[in-house]
Amino acid sequence: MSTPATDMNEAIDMIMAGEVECIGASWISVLDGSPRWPGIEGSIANWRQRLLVESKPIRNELEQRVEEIVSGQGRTVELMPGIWAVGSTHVENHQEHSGIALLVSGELLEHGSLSMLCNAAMLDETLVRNLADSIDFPDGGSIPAMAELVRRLHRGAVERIRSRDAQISVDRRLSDSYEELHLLNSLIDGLVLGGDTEEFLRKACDELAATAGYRWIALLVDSTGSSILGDNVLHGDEVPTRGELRRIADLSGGAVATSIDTRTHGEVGVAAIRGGGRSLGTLVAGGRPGEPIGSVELTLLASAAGHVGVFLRNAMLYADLDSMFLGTLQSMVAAIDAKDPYTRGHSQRVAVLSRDLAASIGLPDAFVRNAHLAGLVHDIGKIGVPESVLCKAGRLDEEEFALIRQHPQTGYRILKDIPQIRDLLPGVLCHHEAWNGSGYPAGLSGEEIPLLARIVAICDSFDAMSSSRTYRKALPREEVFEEIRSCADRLYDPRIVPVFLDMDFTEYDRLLERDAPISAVGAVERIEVDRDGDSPRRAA
Amino acid sequence: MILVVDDEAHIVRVVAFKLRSAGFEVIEAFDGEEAWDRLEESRVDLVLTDRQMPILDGIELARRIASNPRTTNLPVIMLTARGFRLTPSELSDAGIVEMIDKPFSPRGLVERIEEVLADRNAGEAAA
Repeated sequence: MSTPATDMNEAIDMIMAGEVECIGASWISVLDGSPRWPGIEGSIANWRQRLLVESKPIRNELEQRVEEIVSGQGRTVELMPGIWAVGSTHVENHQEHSGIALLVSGELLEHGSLSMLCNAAMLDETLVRNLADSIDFPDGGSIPAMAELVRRLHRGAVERIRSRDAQISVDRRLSDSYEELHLLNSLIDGLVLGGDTEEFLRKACDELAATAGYRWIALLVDSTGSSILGDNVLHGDEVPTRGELRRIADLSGGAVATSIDTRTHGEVGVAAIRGGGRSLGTLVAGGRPGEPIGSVELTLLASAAGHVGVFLRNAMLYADLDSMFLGTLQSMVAAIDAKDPYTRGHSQRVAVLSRDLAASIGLPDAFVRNAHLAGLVHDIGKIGVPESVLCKAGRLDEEEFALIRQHPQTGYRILKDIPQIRDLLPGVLCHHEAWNGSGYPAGLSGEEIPLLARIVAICDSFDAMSSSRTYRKALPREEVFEEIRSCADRLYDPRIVPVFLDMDFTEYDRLLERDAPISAVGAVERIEVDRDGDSPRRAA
Repeated sequence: MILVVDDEAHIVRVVAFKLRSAGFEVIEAFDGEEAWDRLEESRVDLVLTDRQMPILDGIELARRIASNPRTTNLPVIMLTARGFRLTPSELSDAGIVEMIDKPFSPRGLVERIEEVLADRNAGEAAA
């Protein structure tokens, strides 16, 4: 974007008016083949200008011959004795500028033209003659030299103004590219895989609003995009209604970026959000009252839309991968749960409890997620324990106990080659370790036991006691709490126990009810023997 | 009047252009020492300086401004590479009101300068 051509022409004319006045001439700009007569202040001091510009005879003569004079390129034309016109046209950057200088020579005073012009311009001839006497007018012979001077002055003015304009245009472009660079830089920061979607979009909107001067920005999601982004994102004040936004988006016809003039919200910018070759949504921005949306604002909008598209596409791929991964783990877990109807849903419930416990302790989100997954897969090693042992209703012999006690290591071996879940492995391997060192497989104690395993252990025991098993009925909540409380220090991390007992068990109870075995009543009551063999209440 | 200081001429050019378009008077300098000379010659309302410069860097310039009684109240905004941080006390000791990361938004920069100057004026009017 550069200075509008009319502003530049005016600037050139202003320079010329000033410069030719110094040589006693007047400058008449010519636009589209017609002279533009300047307004002259009505003082007698300006008699020469008024004489040249305001008298009808000169005006008429000039208007009739304007084409001839302007195309004459420096050739002088004597309009009447002592009054000369010289035309000048310069072309710079394919833009033409024309004007005519009116010059006066000494002959004006010798012939009758002065009194005629004074009458026409309503000036007092005697006064004018007195003033003119003090001026040393050039004679007609020196007019061609002055005409050449006018032409040079004109060329200089045109070049100066045009190059100033070119410089401003470079500065403006440079500044615009800084805006874009800044926006892209800020957006790239947010393009971290698996990063928070809402935060990224909020930041993208903030930056776009700041750099392009939009007062509001709306991100409309298509059905494909909605799997990642539940709802449209609206940012700023006085955002149009959803219906209006939808209509604006439809009007754009999926263009990369375009501006649309709306009746109620002025000019708005619209850019398509695409990712993986599909349309994911539309970015609509506006709220620049009175200011048109130019190519810069549209470029910035399109850049932002491009980045949002990449981000949404990445987020979708990531979510796909994540849900496939979780799905795979869940099917593995379902396979173990299916071996024993009494432990149906156990892994799911331990997962939920471990997640909530980690969150209640105040651990970071990544840890909370790991606690959930570790809870889900903690018993995966039971896939290697024969059903006859796992579901046995009677007392287990030494050999059978040994088989059951292998499940943490088996689980560890099954999972250890999946790099994405390396962090969960301590939760699987050590969830039967006890705080006092009496657990298995390694007999770790206290803080030697990884925190993740300490969390899973308490949740595992709680669920075992709260649900019915082949060998006993579920215990009432208060009894379970009492049992856990009494085993703090011995089995569980004593600092975690109070946090656990203070948790909200609503979701857990709902899961428990859903998974409850149909014939729990028929279960054999046999609390005194534990399947894992190391404590009365530790169930597997 | 705003003093813009950066050894990178294109930065000075863009910032000066945006500030002039917004109606500010601008003087330019290309290192800290030159900036200090400009400050002694003219009445400046705000200094916008880059951090890394030859001869006298932005932080030294800011400290010199803060320690001279004539210029001590002059607000300084500093442009800096991403990731560079000063502690709040280092900032206030050097009289730096704000650090802005490069690449910056020229539009955002001008808005920020307008805010800082408006705050100053409000503060002086209240005092």
